[in-house]
Amino acid sequence: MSTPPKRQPPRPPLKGSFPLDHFHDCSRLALEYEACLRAHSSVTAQCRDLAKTYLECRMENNLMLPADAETLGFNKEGTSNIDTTKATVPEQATAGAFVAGLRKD
Amino acid sequence: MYTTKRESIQTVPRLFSGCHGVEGADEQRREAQVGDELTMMSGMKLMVGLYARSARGPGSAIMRRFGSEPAGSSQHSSQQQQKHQHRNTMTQDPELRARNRSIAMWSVAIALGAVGMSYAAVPLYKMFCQATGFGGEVRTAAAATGGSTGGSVLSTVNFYTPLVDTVPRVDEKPIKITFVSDAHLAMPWKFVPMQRQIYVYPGETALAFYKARNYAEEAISGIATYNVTPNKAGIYFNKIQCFCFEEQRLNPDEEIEMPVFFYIDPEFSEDPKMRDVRDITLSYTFFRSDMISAEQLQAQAAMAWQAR
Repeated sequence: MSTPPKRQPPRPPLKGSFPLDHFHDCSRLALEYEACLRAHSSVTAQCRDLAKTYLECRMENNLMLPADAETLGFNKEGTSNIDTTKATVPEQATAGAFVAGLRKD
Repeated sequence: MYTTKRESIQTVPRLFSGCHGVEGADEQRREAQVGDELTMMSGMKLMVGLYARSARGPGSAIMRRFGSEPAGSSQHSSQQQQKHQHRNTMTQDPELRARNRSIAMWSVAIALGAVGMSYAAVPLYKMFCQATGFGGEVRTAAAATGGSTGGSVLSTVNFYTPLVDTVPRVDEKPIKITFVSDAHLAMPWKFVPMQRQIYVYPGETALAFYKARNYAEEAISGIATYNVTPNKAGIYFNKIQCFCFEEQRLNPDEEIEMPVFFYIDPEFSEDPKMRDVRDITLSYTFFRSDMISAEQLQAQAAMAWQAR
């Protein structure tokens, strides 16, 4: 390996950029989503409803271009059937590992 | 392709040396060397011989003394003159010249044609891709929205919004996405992720948040860039919407949540190169996007550090 692997150049997001929520219209939902993640050990499959609600709040408050829930990956055939019992954290094969310099807030 | 190094060496001389039998590469090389030497030697001898025997050279006197006529003397000169004339007439022959000219024209035409084709290839390829879409995916915006009510809104927008047409692969193991944040030294901001890691399935759209707080006393604009590690997994990381590449302006003493909405392409599970990838790290870095002088910067940074 004489040359390092080529870094992927950053690509722009598919739907552009989120405008900032200066008036905190959807902050409460964001905090609820974060609480849900903490409760379910950070598995996002368990908190998809809250994510959908947050994005809908953004669309209502003109903070996001309106789009169907299907377009965003919700309400699809697979998502409603996500067996939440299977959506668990995998065994920590790397327990005790750490990222150097990462602050644990 | 080559099973042994010896075989590979063998094929090269065989290509260039015509009809040699199956011999060892070393022998061939030695033969070639010897052959080269012989040719050189014989060439030199020939030159020397010609010089010695020529009519005007110094050796001619010696040769006349010993009874043999040197080359280029009267007996041979007429023959040589004939040959010379014959050689002249060969190129004067009109039929031959015409043929030569036509060959020359053809080769020049073919060369220029090849150059022209390489220029024409660019638009031709574009046309071909639009017509057949071979080897890629070409969709129009109308097809993406499926003609739903959202289509009318999107038709007024100029960018192409694709359908996130992925089904989450719940049968696969979830991938751990770690979030890392960084703010440039010149930014009196506190920029942290609101969750340290999440576990997502390939194909599942996931939402994550970063939090930024402006500690300065004036509004500051910043631009974020991101990076995905490991590098090879970067092609599977698709961001639907985030806060990067656009200027974000924070008012003084303001704290804002910045969401990132993304998904990992489900083909991640099929790629054998990704089999060892269990962890993907997404790191965002905020840079300043407004221009201020060094003194202003120092003053701002000092105030910000006090406020923290």
